[in-house]
Amino acid sequence: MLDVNRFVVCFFLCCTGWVILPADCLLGQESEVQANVQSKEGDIDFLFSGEAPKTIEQLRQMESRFAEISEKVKSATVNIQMSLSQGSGVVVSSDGYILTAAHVIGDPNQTAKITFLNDLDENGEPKVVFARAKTLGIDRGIDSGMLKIIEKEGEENDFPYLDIAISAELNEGQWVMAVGHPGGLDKARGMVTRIGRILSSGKRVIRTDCTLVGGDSGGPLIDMNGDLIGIHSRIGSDLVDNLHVPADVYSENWDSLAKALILDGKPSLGINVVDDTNVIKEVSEGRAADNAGLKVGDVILKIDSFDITDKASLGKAIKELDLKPNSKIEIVVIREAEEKELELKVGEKGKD
Amino acid sequence: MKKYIQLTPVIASLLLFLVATVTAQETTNGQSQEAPKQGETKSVEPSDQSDSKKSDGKEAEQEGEGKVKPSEKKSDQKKDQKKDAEDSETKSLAEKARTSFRNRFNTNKSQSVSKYSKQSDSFVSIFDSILGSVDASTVQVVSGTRQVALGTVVDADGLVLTKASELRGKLGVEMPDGKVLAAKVIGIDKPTDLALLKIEATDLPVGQWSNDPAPQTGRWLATPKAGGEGKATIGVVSVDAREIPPSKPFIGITMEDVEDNKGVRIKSVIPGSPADFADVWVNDVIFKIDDLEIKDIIGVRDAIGQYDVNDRVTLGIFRGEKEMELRLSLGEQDKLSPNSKRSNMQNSMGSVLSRRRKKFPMAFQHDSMLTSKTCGGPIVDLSGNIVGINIARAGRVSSLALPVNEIRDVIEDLKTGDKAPEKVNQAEIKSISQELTEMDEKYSHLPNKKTVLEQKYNQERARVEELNKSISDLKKRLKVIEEKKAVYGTDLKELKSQISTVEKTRQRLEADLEKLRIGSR
Repeated sequence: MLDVNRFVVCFFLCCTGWVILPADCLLGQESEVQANVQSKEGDIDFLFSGEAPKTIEQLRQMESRFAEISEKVKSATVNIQMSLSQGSGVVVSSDGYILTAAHVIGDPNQTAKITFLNDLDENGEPKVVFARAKTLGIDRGIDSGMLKIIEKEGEENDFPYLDIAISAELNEGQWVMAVGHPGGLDKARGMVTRIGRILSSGKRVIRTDCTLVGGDSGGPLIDMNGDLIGIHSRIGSDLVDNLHVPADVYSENWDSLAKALILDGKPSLGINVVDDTNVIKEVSEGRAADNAGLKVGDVILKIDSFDITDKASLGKAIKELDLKPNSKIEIVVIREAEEKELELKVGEKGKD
Repeated sequence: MKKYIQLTPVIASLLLFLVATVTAQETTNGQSQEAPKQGETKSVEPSDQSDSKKSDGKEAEQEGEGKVKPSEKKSDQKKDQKKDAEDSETKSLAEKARTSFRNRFNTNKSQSVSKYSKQSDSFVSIFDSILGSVDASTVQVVSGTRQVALGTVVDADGLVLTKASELRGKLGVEMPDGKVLAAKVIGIDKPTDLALLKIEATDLPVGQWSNDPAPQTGRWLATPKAGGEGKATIGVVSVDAREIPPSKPFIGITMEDVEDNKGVRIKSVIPGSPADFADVWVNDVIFKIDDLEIKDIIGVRDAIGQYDVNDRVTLGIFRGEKEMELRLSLGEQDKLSPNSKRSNMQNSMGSVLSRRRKKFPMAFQHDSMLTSKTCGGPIVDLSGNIVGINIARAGRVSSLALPVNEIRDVIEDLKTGDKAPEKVNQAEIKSISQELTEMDEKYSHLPNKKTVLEQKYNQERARVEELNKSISDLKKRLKVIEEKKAVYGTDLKELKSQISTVEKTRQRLEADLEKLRIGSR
């Protein structure tokens, strides 16, 4: 029975059916890194404590703070185009790691087209820079996802990026900024800024009154230091139901995401063994073991540091290693009286 | 409450390719939540639906007694803090569920307001000091008794600026003191969608208009309340002023080329589209749009691309052998196309959007949570100066305002009376009037025909009634006769039995008599 107190219908925010831009749009200009948040005069503690400002003067302080951080935020925010959908993302390292929502990228190891849309240049034209990225790890359960830029036009240089703050330290009422590409990439419009407050903050979801809509998915939620605190994920029917994945979820799972693991997936090796033994009876075609070169009749001796002697020890090894789909393991087998060491990329149960 | 639950599956099923999911929030005892699965589409079985309806309604009411606990964070109480945060998270979602129904259908009222939101009283009240004079110059525009928009007093002698496309019926202006004055539209400006109303009043307060350029992204904005009701709506500039592009015009057909480039054949008509209203049929062949000959699908696209939304076009079509003309007003692709349904759905979640929300010469976008009814009024900066006129609620994340510098000339123009509706809409009024006249001529014989048919129909109906009456009478008589017949039948049967008994007795007696006579007994 559904309990509505604990359930909210949410809508993912990526746009489907957007046409990918033609290849000749790949000509663009260099993006400029500008990450200079200056120290502020006056007391700005209220921006972080969750209090409402009390004077017009404090509101003016906030305005200058918005201006200071938004340039940096916009330079690190990107549009992500997959084959059938698009969303937003944010660069969080100088070597081009991008955080987004899982539902924007779908699966690991896909190619994504990344668009940096910076402010207008001297000629009043929006500066557009394209890059290609590979999608990495995802956790569809919590809606987190990662990409890495693998190819970018123009000179090699560092990417503008945002630092990641600790989302566990957020206060209710704290002032935040949301940026993204609602409705999809619109060069004439550019990015869209929203200001709001943290309405609630938990381990798995942050709720704010920064309104979001399709296309914002994967875009950054930022604190008043200009640091990343969350990633836009989904909305409910009310204007104050805007849900974000907390930044800590990414920090805590950084290595797994960077290894392109599927954090919510069940591991599958794609083999069957004879009865209770460690002898391979069956290798599913096109699945993990097959791709790694395992054959029927191979006797499994070792998986990483675990010795395998029978079916039970094989199961134990898989469990203790806490394997996730896409993780790589060393596997030692005996084939025709010879030991062979193979590398195997773990598959996902229920997927091809 | 119940409505909310019922609505949910309806919404979900409307969006065929929407990835919707039911997300369980963390429960109060800290159990981890079931989380959204990518590609999982929410569908609710009817039986589950009614079950959950009942229990939800109850629990929501019980929860309603609980207040969200304020969570003061102290570093030495980290665990408790965390739990508090999750408690209030869960509760505020419950709160949301309760208020959602109300908000959905009463979006003119403010959204459910968390004490932390930017619409919370404590935050909005900071703006009181700058809103005084503007509050007084902001009015409600009403149609009958219904508020349709806000208005901005632009002249002390009774001139009020508002949003043209929301105006309907008999118009009035409700002054801050609650008095409603009759209003007349003295000018409309199509490009900006502004209308100037005249009311009989003097010495009205006029707000201070800014002389600065349009406010930049990240500047605070406040939309004053009108009259004594509600409170100001706060937001920031989301996108610097820019031209807002038009929606693409839309007919609502799918089509295929016909042989020899002689037009396009209609493959389907989208229900509710302009083509549907104009009674375009599947298999009709369009060979002309206004005076332009149509050879193929590209021809249709090019032709329609030349028009704006709401333009009236005439389609020349063949229906079988018959050549005919159908007239229609072009619709908006963004509103009507099935492909836009998902984004429309998301954009209208939480507020009612303006009828016209596209195509403005220059507007800045802001994130104030307006609705269609809170457009038309002024929007001010932190100095309390009017920096724009809210001209559209354009989407879930987007309200649009015309910068004051762009509209000063427009207002002067509207004052002249040269842009009175009957003048501005002259061409369209003429076109529709002409169409009406043509229709009158074309169908002038119909009323006559109708009268004749009505007479004939009534005659026949009277005859039928008469005959029915006769049938009914005869049936009654038949019934009486049948009853009599039945009674006689019964009597006859009894009599026959009597006769037979008498006969038998007689035979016995005669036999006895005979025996006595011959002495055999």
